[in-house]
Amino acid sequence: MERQARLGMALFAVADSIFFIVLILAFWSFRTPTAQNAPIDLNVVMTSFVLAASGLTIWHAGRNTGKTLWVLSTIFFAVAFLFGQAALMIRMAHSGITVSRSLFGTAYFVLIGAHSFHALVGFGLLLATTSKTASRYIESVTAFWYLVIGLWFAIFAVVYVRPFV
Amino acid sequence: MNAWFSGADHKKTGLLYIFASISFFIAGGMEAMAMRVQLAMPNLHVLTPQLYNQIFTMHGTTMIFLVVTPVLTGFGLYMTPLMIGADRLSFPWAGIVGLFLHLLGGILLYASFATGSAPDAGWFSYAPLTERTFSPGTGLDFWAVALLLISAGAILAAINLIVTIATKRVPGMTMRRVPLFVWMMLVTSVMIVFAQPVLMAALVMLLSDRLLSGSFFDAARGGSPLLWQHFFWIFGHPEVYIMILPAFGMISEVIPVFSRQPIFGYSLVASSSVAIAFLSYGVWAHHMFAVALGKTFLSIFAASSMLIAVPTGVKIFNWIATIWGGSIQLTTSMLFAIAFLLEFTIGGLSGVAFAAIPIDWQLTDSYFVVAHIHYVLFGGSIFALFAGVYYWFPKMSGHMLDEKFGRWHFWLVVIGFNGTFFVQHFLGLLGMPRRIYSYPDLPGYGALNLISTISAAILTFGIVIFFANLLVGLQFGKAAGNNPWNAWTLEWATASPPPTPAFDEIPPIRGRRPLWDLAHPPEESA
Repeated sequence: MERQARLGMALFAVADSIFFIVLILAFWSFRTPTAQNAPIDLNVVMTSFVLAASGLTIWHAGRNTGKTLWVLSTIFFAVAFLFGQAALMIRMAHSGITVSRSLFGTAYFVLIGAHSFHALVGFGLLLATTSKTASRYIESVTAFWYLVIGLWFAIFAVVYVRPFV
Repeated sequence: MNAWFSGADHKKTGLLYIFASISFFIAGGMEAMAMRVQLAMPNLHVLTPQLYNQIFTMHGTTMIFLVVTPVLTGFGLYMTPLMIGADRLSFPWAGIVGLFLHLLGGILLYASFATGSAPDAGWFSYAPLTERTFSPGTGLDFWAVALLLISAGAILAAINLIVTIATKRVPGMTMRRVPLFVWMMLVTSVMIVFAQPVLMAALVMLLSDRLLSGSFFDAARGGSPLLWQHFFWIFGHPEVYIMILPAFGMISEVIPVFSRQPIFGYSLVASSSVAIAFLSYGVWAHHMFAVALGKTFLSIFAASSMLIAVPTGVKIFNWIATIWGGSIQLTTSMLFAIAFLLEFTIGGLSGVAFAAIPIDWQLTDSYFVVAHIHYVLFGGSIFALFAGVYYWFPKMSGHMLDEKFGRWHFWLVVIGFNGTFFVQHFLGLLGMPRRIYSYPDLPGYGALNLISTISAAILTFGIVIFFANLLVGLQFGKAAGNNPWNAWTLEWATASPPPTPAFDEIPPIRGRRPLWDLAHPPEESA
């Protein structure tokens, strides 16, 4: 990537990470021994797994000459991740936890929702790079997608793993 | 039109920021006068209490987010590329997208008046007053969305400036040679990247509470109103320095040129600003001393708040040392720079006073605080901006500003400003709380408030003269030429106003004052 674009994306990543750190801090500050928790189940694990897979495929897209196939597989995994995330939230809502019903619900849905929004934007950008005119932005979009992946695993650790440690 | 809104020319983007800020400055100034009229005498009822709350909220929000911060961004976008010899910003498109986000936010904020319920919870919007239970109108929703847009715009502009400064300096223009204004824009922009997202996250939480019935800041449902205060001031205190560091940069350009001496201690001015940037993230709780936070916590923040005065004080001495022994030219620009030193020091001293917790407990939420913030924001940032405008107007317009008008502007503003705000220190000591719309006829209250209001009218008159001076200058000001002040930095090496691209040939950069070096070529080795 060109030096200016690289520096610009790095700064954006800093700003975006700080945004999430604040949401995570809010989530963290509301934890109590008796508070509700998000269960870690097969769905969460699979959702995280496909996102990790998308990281591998987009990494390959950056190294190989036949990159279209790798980009397309990344898009496939991105869609799978978005569906997985949606399923997580729907199940949560079905179990009676919503934004308005509890403090945990508020903190959980805003945090996961903000990440979902990022993943959705990332998916749109990935899709755009398959067109001829936008294909030259693939490196910036890749950087953004790495950010989406990194943020998810930070959230995964705080929301799903922390209650067990 | 297209040339203005394409973003291709950083000078036009910068000017658009400045024009927008001037418009909002007029709105914010009118709000200030409305408050002063309401407070002129005891027991007045010119405004309704409700309207008064809306007006002080809009005044604060406007001046901070729509005037001081963006006008400095405007100067930064205009001047930075010229000063480092670049022909454009790193991301011209981001310059204009940022501006649009900013304008959209500003317009949205003011559109709230049309709904009949403008935001009325103060520029800091403390919870739980901002929860839907207590503020059922739509005003705070407008406020939160507007600030989200403005913040996004600010981050874009900041990233643009950082990357431009990091990558587009001409050969020879090392970071030890860039003008101090560029240094200050760099530090400020880094602070914006680190601070603004904190506000954005807090605003998202506020909106979730208000629009989706969330409970982040709702104590009745387990949430924490204090959390808002922490997040707001983790953003808010760096924001204070975001509004003053570029002003320091302007002062650091103006004082050397009109003292005919290079800045004293260049690296100290630059490095003390970096120190300020770091420390500014560790002082936020001094806005919350009245909250029961625990002795240790309070002591740490009291200490850090006193500490941050040191790098600021260092700069004051740098500027005084630069003036010392120089051939001082008392242009209007220099007058404002000297007044800045005095007014800002007063504001700085009342700030250090607050860092002592017992004093803060006595004076918090009183007019003493109002006096303090205006001494640093008006006596500091705005005085420096006036110095900057008189200094750079010839470069930006190609015309000189009238010095006689300038004197009138200067003295009216100095008298009006000090008359308005100095007495508010005493009002605060007498115990007059801020954010009240009317007050009883207690001893001293009436007289001091009347002095404040009359002085505010004088101040307003001074500002009118300033705008008249700008308009007359644009039309009739005598031609400025490339370098009317015999200044030394690169922006003066091109025509006024600068063409696009600004430079045919950039003078070789051999030091911090390229134009001085150009006029004094190194002698052949003896």
